Amino acid sequence: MSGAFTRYLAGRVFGLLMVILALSAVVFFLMHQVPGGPFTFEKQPLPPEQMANINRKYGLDQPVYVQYFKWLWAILHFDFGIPFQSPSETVVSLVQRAWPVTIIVGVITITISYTLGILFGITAAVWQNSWIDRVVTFVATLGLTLPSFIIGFLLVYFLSVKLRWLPTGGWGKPQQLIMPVIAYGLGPMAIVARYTRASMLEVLRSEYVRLARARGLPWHRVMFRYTLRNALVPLITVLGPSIPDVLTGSIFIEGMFSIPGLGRFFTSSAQFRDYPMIMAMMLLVALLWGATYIISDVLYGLADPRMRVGGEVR
Amino acid sequence: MAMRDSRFDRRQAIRGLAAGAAGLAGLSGGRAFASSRFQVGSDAAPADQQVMITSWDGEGLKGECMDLYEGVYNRAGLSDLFSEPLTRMTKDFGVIPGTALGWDCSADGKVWTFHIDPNLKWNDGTAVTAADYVETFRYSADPKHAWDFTWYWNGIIKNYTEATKGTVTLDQVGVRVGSVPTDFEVETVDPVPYLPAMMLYSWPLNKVALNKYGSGKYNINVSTSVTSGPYYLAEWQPDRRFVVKANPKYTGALKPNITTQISNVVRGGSNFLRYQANEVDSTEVTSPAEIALVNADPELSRQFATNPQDFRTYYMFFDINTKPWDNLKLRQALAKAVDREGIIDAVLRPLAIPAYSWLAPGFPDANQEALKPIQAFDPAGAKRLLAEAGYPDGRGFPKTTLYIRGSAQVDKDVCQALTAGFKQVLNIDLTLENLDQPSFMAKLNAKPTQIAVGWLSYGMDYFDATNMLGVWLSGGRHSWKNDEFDRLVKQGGVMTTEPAKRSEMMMQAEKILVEDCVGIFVYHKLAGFLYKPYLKGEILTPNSFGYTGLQWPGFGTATLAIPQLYISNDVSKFR
Repeated sequence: MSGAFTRYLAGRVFGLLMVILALSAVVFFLMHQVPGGPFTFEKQPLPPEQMANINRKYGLDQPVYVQYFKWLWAILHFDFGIPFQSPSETVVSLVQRAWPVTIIVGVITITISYTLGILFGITAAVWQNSWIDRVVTFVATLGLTLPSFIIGFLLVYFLSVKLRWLPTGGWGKPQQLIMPVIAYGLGPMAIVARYTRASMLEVLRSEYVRLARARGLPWHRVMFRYTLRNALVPLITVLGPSIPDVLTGSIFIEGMFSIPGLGRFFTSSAQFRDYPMIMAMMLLVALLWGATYIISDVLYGLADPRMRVGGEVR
Repeated sequence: MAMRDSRFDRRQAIRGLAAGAAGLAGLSGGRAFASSRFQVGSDAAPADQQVMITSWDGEGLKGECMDLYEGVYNRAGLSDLFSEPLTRMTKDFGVIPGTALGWDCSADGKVWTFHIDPNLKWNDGTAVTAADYVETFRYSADPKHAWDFTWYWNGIIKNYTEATKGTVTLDQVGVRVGSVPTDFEVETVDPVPYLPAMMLYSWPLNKVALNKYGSGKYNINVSTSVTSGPYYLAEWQPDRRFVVKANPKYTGALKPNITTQISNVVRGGSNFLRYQANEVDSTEVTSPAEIALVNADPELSRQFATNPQDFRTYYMFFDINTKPWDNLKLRQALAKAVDREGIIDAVLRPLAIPAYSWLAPGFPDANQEALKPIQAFDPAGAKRLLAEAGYPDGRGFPKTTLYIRGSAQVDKDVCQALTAGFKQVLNIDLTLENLDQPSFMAKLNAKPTQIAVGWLSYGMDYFDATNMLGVWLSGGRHSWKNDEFDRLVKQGGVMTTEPAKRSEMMMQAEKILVEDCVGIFVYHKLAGFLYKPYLKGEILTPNSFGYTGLQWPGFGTATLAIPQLYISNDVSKFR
């Protein structure tokens, strides 16, 4: 790794850290401006002294800027606080137990949906306008138009309630993954299938493929060496940004199937004014997206020499 | 176990209701109920199949503890099973003894002595004594603990409010051990004839464990949990499930038939589907769509039960310090423009009954029939009142927003029906706006309040009119202030004699509230529950009011449900 590349990378990482620092301040101050707090109860209002006791207990009695600097100091020591939604553990331990669940669901979903999507796309392109193409197009259209929670509901209704084949949800058994992965994966699979089909058709019509065919190269060689390889390049554009999405989970899928992942905390933390979790989620998302863009840029540079400056990745 | 000989029957229940709830305690009362009275049927499933599975909605700031005195709003599923309150409630809403075999009160009505069953034991072998209750109540008042429900005892127990403010020490709170270790004495600020009803919320923590671990969270750890209740903690996973099992060392009156309870943690999804898939044994039916499905299915209809639970009233309220809502005729016009029967038919049936007043039928001192004409649907009268208020045919009526707490579909549906009715009858427009609960309550509780017109509900905590009417006292939830109302509720509340007069004062107070139209009372909720056919027992049969299913406060130690519910052999057809 050359010095220019190291400087470039260091600059990008430093830039990301500055963005996160600014973002954390904005989010911290904004979330405290939203009416209501984590302990605004539904019944009778507590007298001010008793409300003060609660605020003191959770460190909410100090000025917001003091709270912010305390939070900043704490996270430098890897102390992200106690989540109000699960106060028997720390934010770190909550993320440690919930995030792997989300990642497992996400990785399985993306692996299966992308594999099937590519296969379906290729099949539909090779046998364009056949019944196979029409079936793939129909399934892809369903996947694109039906929201995941509708698909999930239908799966639960038919596979759990009517047929009793699968549990409605939960975590820990392989069969509990089937419906979430289908509901979560149908959309990405449809997108990949449509992209692959369109890209394949474009490449199949290109001159160099026609030339390869005209030269009498075997079908499989034309398909895999010339067509597929080039047709799949645009998929990187689709795959890259979807990774942070998948790694942070789906509130609908995790809720519907009672998956103890991280996804639902993105909305519930805001809804219930869970300040430590809001900040932790913000950091996680910012880091993931920031890292994804840095890695993507580096990979682009590695893959395409035109992206380099002075022979280095930029 | 040695308990006073007694049998549970309706007359006793009614006596309990009268003595405990309506404040006629005669300042002594209570008799224990032997659990042997409740025998399971011959169709009971074997012990290993006596497993009840429910789901617990873990969304929100919950899952921190298992005991009310550790935290009310942040309790986890299957909480309050590791000790028992001094009193309980029958399915006919009668207050009866819990761990207290009886109670007495001093002549001035301010010092109560609850006689705790001396046979009760913690599972570490030590006795349950008044010291456990004393320590628990002091802990709840500790400013460092910052209990989230202190308002419940504010102004009731002597020095309680002062202790929460830190102006007196905890040992000055009006709770102490009596002449024997099992006598628990409570000294109140004023006479509180409904104190036994309030003691429904008196689950003690174990004094030794509380002091050893510094909080009640010892009960979320299997290795440190201590129980004197009918169950012990077997599993505590706030992201997955909670499991409790029958306490083999239990010495109380609620010997359970259900040997294991599992509460699966859910955050979203449909409990109705989980019920249909036989994954839970019972669920509440809440949405209009689910109600329609139940009504259309004969089998589900047979499994359906409704009851008032916490006697919740849904209402539209006004800040009468804000123009134009200081105009009584305008408020009256809106109240009379509400077709409650029509709204219930369209949106809520069978999970509601029309409300024309604050206290739901069946609640102490409820007076619905007499008060009904005040806010009854009267389109012509409503139009006339609107004109007299200065808005003939709705002309000049200002732009108004009706704020709704939360985003429950049923609230949106009802409020849309309300505003459609206002438009149709009065030709006025109200805009709807949902606010999440923290935002709504922050705006409502602001001084002065920031919500001029809103939609809310309230359900009771203890079975006495002072609880529900207390919501409308000056300085309470709403900005309304009426000196006569305050006087009637406060003076009536402390009356220990002349029950008829006390009742009359409560009814007068409610009449003032209804006549002033500070709230438009729209409906009293009936909770709808589905119970699998294999869940059986006396507790599920209709009560004396005709309500079915488990009554408030549900399957726990504050009711007689535990020894009265069992799982029948039919369970094998479902699991």
